Amino acid sequence: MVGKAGLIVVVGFSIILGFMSLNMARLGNKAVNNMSSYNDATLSHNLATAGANIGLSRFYADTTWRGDTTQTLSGQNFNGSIRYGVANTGTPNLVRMQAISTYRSPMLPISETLHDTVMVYLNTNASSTFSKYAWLTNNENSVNWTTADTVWGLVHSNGTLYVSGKPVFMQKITTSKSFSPAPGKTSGGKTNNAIFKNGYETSVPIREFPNNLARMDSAATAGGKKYNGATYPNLWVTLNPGTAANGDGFVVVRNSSFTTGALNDTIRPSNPAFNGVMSSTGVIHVKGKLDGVLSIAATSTTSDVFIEDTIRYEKNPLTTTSDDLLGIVADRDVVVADNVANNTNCSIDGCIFTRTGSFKAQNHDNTSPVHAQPLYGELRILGSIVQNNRGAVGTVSGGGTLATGFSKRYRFDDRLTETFKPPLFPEYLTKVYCITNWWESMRVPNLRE
Amino acid sequence: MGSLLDIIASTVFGGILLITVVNASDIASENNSKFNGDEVVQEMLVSTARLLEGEFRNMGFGVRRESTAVLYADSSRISFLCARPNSMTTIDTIKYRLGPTSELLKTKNELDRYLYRRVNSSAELGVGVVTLFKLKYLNITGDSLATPVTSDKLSEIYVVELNLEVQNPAAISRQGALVNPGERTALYSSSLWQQTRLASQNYRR
Repeated sequence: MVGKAGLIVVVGFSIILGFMSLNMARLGNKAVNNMSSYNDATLSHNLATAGANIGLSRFYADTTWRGDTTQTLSGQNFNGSIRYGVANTGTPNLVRMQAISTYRSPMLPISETLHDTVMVYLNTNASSTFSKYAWLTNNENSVNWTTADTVWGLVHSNGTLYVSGKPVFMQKITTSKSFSPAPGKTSGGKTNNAIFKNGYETSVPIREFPNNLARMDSAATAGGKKYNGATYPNLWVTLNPGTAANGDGFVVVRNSSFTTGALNDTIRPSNPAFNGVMSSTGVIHVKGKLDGVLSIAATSTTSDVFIEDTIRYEKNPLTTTSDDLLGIVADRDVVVADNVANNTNCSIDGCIFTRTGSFKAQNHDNTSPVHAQPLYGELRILGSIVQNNRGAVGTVSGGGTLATGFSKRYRFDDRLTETFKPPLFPEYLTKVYCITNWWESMRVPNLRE
Repeated sequence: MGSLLDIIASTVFGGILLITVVNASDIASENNSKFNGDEVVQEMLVSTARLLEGEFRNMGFGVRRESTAVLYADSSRISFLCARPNSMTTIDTIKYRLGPTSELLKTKNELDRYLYRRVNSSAELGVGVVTLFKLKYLNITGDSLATPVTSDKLSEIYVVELNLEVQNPAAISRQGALVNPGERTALYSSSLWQQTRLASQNYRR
């Protein structure tokens, strides 16, 4: 009897203690499993990130690659796979790399497999504004940068840069070809002793000029002001600053002269409904003082912009805070007109762009003056100059003094950046394949829904 | 005489067994509480950590390169921009801040407090109860930025370092003899999570 009772007691206690032990072990395991599942989620996530990096590596080796690949990883303690691929998004110049991981931890039940996703967006082309350059040309026309030249701001040429003497470039200077002669070298009687304060770079990608100015025309039609050259072959545009207050300037447009003509439009750059672009397929003559932000574009292949007199900002950015900004864009030439107003000096505040032509002074060499007093003086620019062919604004005598036309006083407007630019100012595209956005999946409810 | 000895022996033996069972039950109960507390703490930590690391990784997603994704950065408060993955044009402003300890006076733990999250102008939502939520900001060279980061330095943020600690709101009793001067009189199971390089890839473009 005692033996049986003892057996029952021992078995009973074994069951009770065993149950308690199991319960405690289960609780302990649950706590560990919690961290273990976090570790598994991290592994799955890292696998997807690794897939994205592998995919990017392959994409950069062959940027034409589209499609996807699956890669399996198997080991004693690690089993998983990653599928990564590149696809066009439908948005121009934007591709998407996507990597999806599949991971099953030895700790997890067979039915539980983890997936994570990493999406990387890449821009195939990046657009940059031409106005960030102090000076940019497609063709330098064999004109030398000389000892008299000091340039602030970025300088670039899609052609060869010619140097004779000791010009100073305060910012980086680049060329898609080379220097002639090479820095520090002498060739053909010319020595390149240029001082590059921020370095130089040769054989950089070409800054492609746009094929047309349709983008500006469209903007002028959509939210700006568009004039038809067939109806108004010449537009006379006066920039009027209004009062001394900021934001009350206006632009007067006429079709016979600055003061006459049936057409008599007034444009207010500060009008929120105006997008800042006015264009014409005819010739544009412009002068005055600007209060506001404006782009003026002559967009047909035969149209030019003539600077008829000094153009200034109401607030001078060199001496005070100014939000005034002007873009002067021509499909062919931007010309400083040979007239009485420009006879001595001419100042232009603005960003100049000529798609197929040049920025030049009319009759700068005085070979066929249109009036009795040919151009002679200083041409002062505050802004940037971008032109297809480097144009001439004057000639110098053998001694280096000005013979005809203008001597140059060009100064870069330091406010100009990738974002601070005249409205719809022409841009260039470069192949970059830069990562614009990177997204990684989250293991949490979408709290933003 | 023999029966008497049997009774005495069985009483002693039964008493020992009873004491053992009662003692085992106490220990089991205490351990049960500890393990339960640990589990609660770890679940709280993991769920909060997953939210934070998931969201901080995507900081700046869809934001233009020239824009600053972090709008405000302090040691226990941050506000940043992030687009939704299915609509890169919709950019939300996400804010995290640490609430005061006075909001959780009802818990035994005097250090715990809410971690709040807000999207745009929607209502603030408590997304976790933590005892530590500390943010540190490093620039591209690895130097710490003073907090709160001034607006002109926000664009310099390259790495966000995050420390998160969760403690059990309920205390485990502690014998007075074991409490050293300056220490808390109660023990709280705690768990610490640290991400030292929680930098969004969107900051490395």
